Amino acid sequence: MEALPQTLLFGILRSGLYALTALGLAISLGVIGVVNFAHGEFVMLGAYVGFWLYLLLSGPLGLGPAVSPLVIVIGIPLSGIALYLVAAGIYRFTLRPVLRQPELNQMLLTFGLSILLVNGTSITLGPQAKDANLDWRFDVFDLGFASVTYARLAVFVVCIALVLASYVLLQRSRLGKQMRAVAQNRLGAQIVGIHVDRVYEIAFGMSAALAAAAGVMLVFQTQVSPYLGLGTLLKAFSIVVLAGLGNLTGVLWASLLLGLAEQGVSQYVPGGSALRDGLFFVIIFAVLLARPGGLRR
Amino acid sequence: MRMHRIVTALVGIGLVAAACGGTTPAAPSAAASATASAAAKPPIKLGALLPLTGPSGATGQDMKDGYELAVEQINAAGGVNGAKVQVIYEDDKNDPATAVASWEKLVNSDKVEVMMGGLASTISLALIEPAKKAAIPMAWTGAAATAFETGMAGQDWFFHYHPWEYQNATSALAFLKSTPIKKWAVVYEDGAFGTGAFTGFKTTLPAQGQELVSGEAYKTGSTDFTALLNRVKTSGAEGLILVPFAGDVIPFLTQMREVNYKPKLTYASPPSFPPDFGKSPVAEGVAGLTLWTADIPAPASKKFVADFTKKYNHAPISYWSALAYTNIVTATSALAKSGVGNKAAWISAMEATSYESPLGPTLKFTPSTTIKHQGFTSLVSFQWQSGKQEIVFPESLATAKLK
Repeated sequence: MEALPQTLLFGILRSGLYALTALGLAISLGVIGVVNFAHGEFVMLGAYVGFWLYLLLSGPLGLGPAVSPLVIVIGIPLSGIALYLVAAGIYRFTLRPVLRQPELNQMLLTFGLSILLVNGTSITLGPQAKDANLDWRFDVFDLGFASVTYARLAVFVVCIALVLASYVLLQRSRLGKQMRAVAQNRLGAQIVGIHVDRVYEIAFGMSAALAAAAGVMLVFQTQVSPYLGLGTLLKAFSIVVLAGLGNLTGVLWASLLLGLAEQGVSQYVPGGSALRDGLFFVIIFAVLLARPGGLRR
Repeated sequence: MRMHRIVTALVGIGLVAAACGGTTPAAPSAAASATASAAAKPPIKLGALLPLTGPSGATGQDMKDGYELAVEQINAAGGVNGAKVQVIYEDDKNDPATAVASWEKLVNSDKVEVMMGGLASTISLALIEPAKKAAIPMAWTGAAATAFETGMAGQDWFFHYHPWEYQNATSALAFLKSTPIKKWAVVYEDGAFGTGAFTGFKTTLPAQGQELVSGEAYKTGSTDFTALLNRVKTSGAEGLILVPFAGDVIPFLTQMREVNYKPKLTYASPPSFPPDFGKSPVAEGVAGLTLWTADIPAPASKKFVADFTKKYNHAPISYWSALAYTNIVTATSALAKSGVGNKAAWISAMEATSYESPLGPTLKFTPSTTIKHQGFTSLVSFQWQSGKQEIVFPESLATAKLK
């Protein structure tokens, strides 16, 4: 049982990135009502921005130990702005025209977009996976009962901070209220004078910016490749289903549950490390069968 | 109607051109003739099936670089009997279904002369039946799984370059036995590659008086190994044997630090280490098995490394580029002797191969326990020391001592 505190810790730390990735997906689903299959690719593009920044800061600029924090501090706003603009463009030119069409068309569109982004990246930047030798990936911080890399702590702290900031934005700000109004009743919101189309565009951009931030944090955990989007998307989907489609606050709890469940399975079930990545499918099945509206509804 | 006229015109022009070609006088010099025939002869098409993306993508790309370098040199030297060599690459994406489809494309649609490549065992296993159906010359680099060897038994058009897993195991075990470590844990990816290796270690480690105290499988591409490592740590293993793919190596070694697991020796055997692995702080002291390192003193190796570095501005990232280079050079020089489309003659020419390869040993094909044509049969053990792969075993080839 000595592994229990460590299992809980790693499960919790793991959930931060899950929450950030899933929140973006939940926003595009909850506010606009679009199932965005390209969300994982937004994460992937964010990761490339982070990786490029790592190359720039550690190579020509040679900043040494400052590289890790700088990749986060510069990478998140930079990739956020870049992906916001990309997503706003995608919204204007491709998504808006199909918003009133059947859901299948929207799904096919985002699915196509996903294929386009994966292959476009593979052709332009190369298909190989790359590792960033960031100091924080390797230096460990001793917590007494467990040691964790700076990367793992930083990823968790930054992700949770961004998720909470997004909640505050959605709950308190005028824009957040507009988003929630549009999400609840598109026509009603329009009648009271909310510019629905603009709100949609901002929501889609914000969803992509959150994904990009998650991508930058992913550089601290794994290899960067054009194909990392799919795995990311599948987990984000299971969290969104668990939370209840479009339920934004449920995302945090659902992420925590998935993180702990995965860590628990790989720690305590024999052969669990090989089974763990299938766990989200089990969760999706179970939730859809038992409580189709999500756990908290 | 207009279309019809254009087509007629084009056919007419073609006929006139052909007629003129026919009346050209015999070439005045040998050089001009070689150039003319190289231009006139259709290129010789070879197929290469590689994982260019996915967890083994870096290794597959390294192989492709090896092929491209060889093709450039072969064509610069006049090609094969005056015909240019052209390699058609297909990405198997480390996915058996994709690999089978790509195989069919290369064989039936591109109609390649020789099938080359091969890395992951899972992929090669899926190709046994399509390969037997096509029965075309096959100069195959990878796949170490014994199941694949058994599947290809009796096929005289099949030439295999990489040592088989029992040969890998013999080489690895000899090294493991030479260390003072008695208790081992094996962590392996759960595909054919890792499972095959683990099955081997289960019987062979005890057979040489060493204990296997823990065996753990994981799915390649997982980003979190802490729970698994915790269990390995509590098993009391003094040494860790890791059978991963390239992408898993850095997360794995990093997380060993997180759970504070410091075995006396970590022995990792991915098909290749990630690019720039030597520069990462977790590399130091990790030992592994390889067919070759870029620092061996053999002249053919030195030339290969120099040519490779000149073309790509970086050193080969694994032995796979040198193996791929050896693969295409031997397959095409056999083609030069046999001529195109003569399978029996190609097989005889391959059997007569004696090639001083960049990998060090002279390559000859000899029967293994199961197949007729096996190339390399043993590997060396190395350790990452100050960013470089130093050979530590066998002693006769060692460039440094095990730390």
